[in-house]
Amino acid sequence: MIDHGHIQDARLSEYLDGELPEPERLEIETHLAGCDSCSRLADELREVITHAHQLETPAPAEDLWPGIEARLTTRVHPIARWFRGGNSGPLRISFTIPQLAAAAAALIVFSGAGAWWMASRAPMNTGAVAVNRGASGPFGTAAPNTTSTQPGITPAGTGSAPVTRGSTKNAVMTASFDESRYQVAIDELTQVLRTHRDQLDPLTVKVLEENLATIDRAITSARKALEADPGSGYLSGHLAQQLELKVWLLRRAADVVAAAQG
Amino acid sequence: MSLAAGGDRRAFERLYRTHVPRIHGLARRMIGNDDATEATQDVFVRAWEKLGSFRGEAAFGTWLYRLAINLILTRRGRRAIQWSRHTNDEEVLHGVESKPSTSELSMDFETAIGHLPEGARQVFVMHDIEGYRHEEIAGFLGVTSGTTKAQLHRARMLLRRTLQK
Repeated sequence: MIDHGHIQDARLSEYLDGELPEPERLEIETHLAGCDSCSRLADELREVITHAHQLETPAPAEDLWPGIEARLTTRVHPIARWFRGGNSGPLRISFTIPQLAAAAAALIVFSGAGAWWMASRAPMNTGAVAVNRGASGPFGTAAPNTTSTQPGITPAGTGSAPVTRGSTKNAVMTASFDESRYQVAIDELTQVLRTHRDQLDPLTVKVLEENLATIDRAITSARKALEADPGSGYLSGHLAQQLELKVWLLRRAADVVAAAQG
Repeated sequence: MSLAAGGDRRAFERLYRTHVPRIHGLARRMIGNDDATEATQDVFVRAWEKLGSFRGEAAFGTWLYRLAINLILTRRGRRAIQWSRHTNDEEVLHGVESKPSTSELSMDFETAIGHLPEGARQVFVMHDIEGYRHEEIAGFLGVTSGTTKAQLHRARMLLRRTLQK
């Protein structure tokens, strides 16, 4: 209110913030034009607001990250949530051409490696196969590594025997690995994709399903071969890589959704 | 963001590096320098734990700052505004030294913010520094927007004296 000829309350701040209705704004503007005291007060409050806006927020003097990291617990990523549409309406996602090309290239590499692997799997009973899962765990973000650590088996034209790439965090997988841990993620993502099929761009769905079908064929072949030679570390690794490739491709779709959601 | 949500600590560290200045600044201004470090760490640990519930409907920063404000207010207690009504405004900024040097004005202004009554300080920080609207602040504090407007004006009236010194 304008009391005793001066603006006494929060309306002056509301006026400065542009939050007053038009009639009240005009009333205060008229008053300020003719009242030096209130006009000066308004200027002083503007200065306060300006100072507040210009305040800097430097980083803390000490690095707090070590203390934070020490308190972080290992967490399992709930993959399905990235596909939930929420209340914001249908979500339509399209992969970019480079993403599709990358996925296709990955399929070619993996399928080729798998075919070669199957064709050259004669004595394959030495146990362990290392599979690089990237830096972030079994279902991490790095593309699955196709390289075998099996000594003495060399792809044609590659020269020396391949060695394990990647970090020292590579996990060693025995021939009788547990496929269920891949299957849980695959089942969950497949169900979510099925549920949200109509929310995705049709072309994206088509390409994604074609790629997944290719991987499924490789998985089926690997399973059959493993049934015939259950002790083969090579075939176990090959099956694991196909499963991991499938999870990886599905996770890429999740990342695209996540990126689109900001 | 999705990497951190997937459990990648290095990705989460990058988020920390990006957002820690503002989170720490918020904590420092809301609850003081002594508690700001612990509060900031709590915010990021809680964010890590709750990333699974972040659905990407808002920007990550928006989500994080809301989480921070709620955590800081919970830490401090929401009765601050009621308490501040009993503070004598004439005594509020008594301890703030006059700093004629322009180069030290911002530091002095920060000190003055720290001397504001708690409720006025919280509203001032959230509105004039962090840019939240009265309706949002009222929601955080569990009060009406009329109360937050009154507290904001009170804070500005007190702070203007600092700039006049």
